[in-house]
Amino acid sequence: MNYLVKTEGLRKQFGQVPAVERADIELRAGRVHGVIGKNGAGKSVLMNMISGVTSPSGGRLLVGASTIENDKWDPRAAQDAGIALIPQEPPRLPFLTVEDYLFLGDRSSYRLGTINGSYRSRKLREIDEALGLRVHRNDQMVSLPIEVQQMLAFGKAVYLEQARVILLDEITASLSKVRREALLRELRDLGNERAFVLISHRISEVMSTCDVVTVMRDGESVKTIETAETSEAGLAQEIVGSQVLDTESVHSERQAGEELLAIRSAEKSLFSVRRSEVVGLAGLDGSGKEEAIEAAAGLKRRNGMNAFLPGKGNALVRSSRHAAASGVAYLPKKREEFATVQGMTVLENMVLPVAGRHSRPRGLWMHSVLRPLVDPLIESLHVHPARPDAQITSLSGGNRQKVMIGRLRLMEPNVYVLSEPTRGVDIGTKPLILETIRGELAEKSGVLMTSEAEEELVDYCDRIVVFYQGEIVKEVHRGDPDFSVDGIYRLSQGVEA
Amino acid sequence: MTTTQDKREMSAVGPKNRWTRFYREVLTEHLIWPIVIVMILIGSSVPGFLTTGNFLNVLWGAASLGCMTLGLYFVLMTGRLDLSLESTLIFAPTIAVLLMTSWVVGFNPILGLVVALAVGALVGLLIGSLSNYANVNPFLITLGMLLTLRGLVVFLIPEGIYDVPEAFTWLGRTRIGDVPVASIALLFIFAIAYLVMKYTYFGKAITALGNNEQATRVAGVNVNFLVVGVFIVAGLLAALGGIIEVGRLNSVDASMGEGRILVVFAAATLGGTALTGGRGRITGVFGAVLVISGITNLMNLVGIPTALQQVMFGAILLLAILLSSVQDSLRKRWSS
Repeated sequence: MNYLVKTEGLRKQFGQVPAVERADIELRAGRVHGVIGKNGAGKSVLMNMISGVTSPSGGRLLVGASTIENDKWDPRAAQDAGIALIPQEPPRLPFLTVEDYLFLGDRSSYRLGTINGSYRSRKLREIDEALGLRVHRNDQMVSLPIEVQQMLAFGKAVYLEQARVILLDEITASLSKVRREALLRELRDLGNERAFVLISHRISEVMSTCDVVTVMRDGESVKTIETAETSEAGLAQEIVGSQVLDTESVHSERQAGEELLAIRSAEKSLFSVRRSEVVGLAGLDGSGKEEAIEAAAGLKRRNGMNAFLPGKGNALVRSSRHAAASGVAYLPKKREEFATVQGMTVLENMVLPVAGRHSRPRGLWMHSVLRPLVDPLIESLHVHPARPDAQITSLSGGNRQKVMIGRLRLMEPNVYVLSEPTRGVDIGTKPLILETIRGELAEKSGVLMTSEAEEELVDYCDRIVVFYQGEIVKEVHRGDPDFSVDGIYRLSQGVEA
Repeated sequence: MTTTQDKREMSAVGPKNRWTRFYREVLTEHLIWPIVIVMILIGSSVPGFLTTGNFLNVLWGAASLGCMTLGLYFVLMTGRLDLSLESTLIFAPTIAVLLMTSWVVGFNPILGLVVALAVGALVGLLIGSLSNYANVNPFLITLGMLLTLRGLVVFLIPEGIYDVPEAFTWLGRTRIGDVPVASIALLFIFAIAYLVMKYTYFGKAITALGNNEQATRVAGVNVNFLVVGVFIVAGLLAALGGIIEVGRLNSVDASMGEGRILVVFAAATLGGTALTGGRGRITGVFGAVLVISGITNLMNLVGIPTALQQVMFGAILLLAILLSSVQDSLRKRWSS
């Protein structure tokens, strides 16, 4: 036995949906193991299974010499076995001091129930020397930048819990360049005792830090290879796979109308949306596409990005309310949190923004007036069950999304701003939603959308704007040579073909 | 991570200027002390307020409220709440006094004190266990307990009891020299609580629990045990408050403490304790208890009628809520 953790055909299903279908991975001491793949490839779910956060649906998980039994595996057991997960989001313990956070759960930092000062000081000095964080032990966690919280979580796992298997789930995404490089160096230096897993979207980072890399695609670990034996372009190809485009669904280029919405950063024009076209935004998390779509919806104006209305003398979109009033309809990414109203029916959810406007006298909730608005949409969008009075919570994710699309249509906007409209939508429903976007929505309006699946953008958009590290790297038009799944993926990785 | 206090300037966050840092810290973490100062300044215009004797009276009057507020503080720190404290306050001494005066002839009054505290702890144990194992919101459990215990007390002593054994009232009634024993007791339990929060596993663990229950569980902390623990502590403290109050009034009255829980919540909130759990300082709670007791004292000195005093407490609660939201936004502004 020369591995610390090993999985054999590990599987995880959420309801009917498989998240990981077959994962084989072997973590050895003294190695930094990269795990790479697109969003939804199953990387995080695999890490959650190894660290006891979720339990596998099948396959074998071996820790040391023993096979793990599902019902005995939880985060606590994993921690006792020396496995630590540093998740993407640092644990939320806002009002603990740095010291209290670090020693949470550490029995040796107490003597007879009171604080063991000398032990604590010694350990704090050790972490301080290793990470050089320059924070005070009495600082509250909430007052520290996310990246410092991440580094503290890392320090806690490595130096206090003495974890031997440390799973870093995309923590480099929230780190600044300096910290990221320091952390990656630290990983390399931490010696032969430990095994690290580095999940990352950045191919270059994996290539330079890891000894070995496992590529995950569609819930399977498709390839494990020494980084010395592959290249960035080779990995990119493995990640995307050999996807053959369904030529029938490729749409022809259309004649776009007048400019409806323009996104600018400072004085620079970034991109615009025209009538009768679908514009896609591509890029990794943190690449800037999220900021761009939120700017388009009049939300937080981060990175100095702003939306303007060319039809109204280039007026600045001041707020999300202003955006809605100016004919911009927004579908947020986190549908359950920011869009659907749980506890209300399909009809109520659909007409919520326009109900007051349509009833006479205004402001009354007139079922007889609202029903005819909703019925044709339920029919054309194939909402199932086709009952306006069904509770929204009784619908599947895909059908909830159809209701949200219906809501936007009732607003009769000039521009649809759709943040990942296929997120949390079952595979069977995705084409219908995408067809609706390209068909009915883009017929009289402009559409701006993002998707984590490049193939959806390539199939349904007229133009794709690719972001990389906060900048637009390229705007690709239908018919351009880069207008393909691997072309877009390579651009969003900053990799030259 | 610097390991000594004096290297504060090593910190990567926060302003460099010593004075800026000081007033920001006061405004976001210790807002209660400026309020205490304002109260004293206002009080200085009232004859008889700024005297040693009156100060001791304020402390004496604060004793019972302080006990309850401290109890609620521990519960709030875990992100839970306890409405029943005002009923435990009277229920615990009622049982003990009944034991001594009518149920058992010649019952030792010292044992009576132990019984009162034990009753308080038992009430807490019951609430904590129910909230853990029946998985019911503590609001509902303690609401039920609030009504049940008060009803029991009214049933048991509809007329009240006016011949309470002297040993039982000693804690609330006696002065050593000029200093009331109750005020020493108050300072003593706050000092203990301060040390518990700062230097013990229990204090650290309940703070973590209030911040993030799941993360605390994963860290291997026995959360159920802690929840029962804080309710027991709260029950004990409420019983202690009850003993002090009974001693001060030298009687047990069925309506004692009725409606007091709202003032207790006002004090905890004014002291900077978050109702959502995980945040609050013992020093802040102490300051808030002083403020409320001081204002009561001022109103009595000036001669404001009881009904208007109620209005005043309502206003204090509103002020406390307002201040805590101001504190939150200041904290957000200065930490980014």
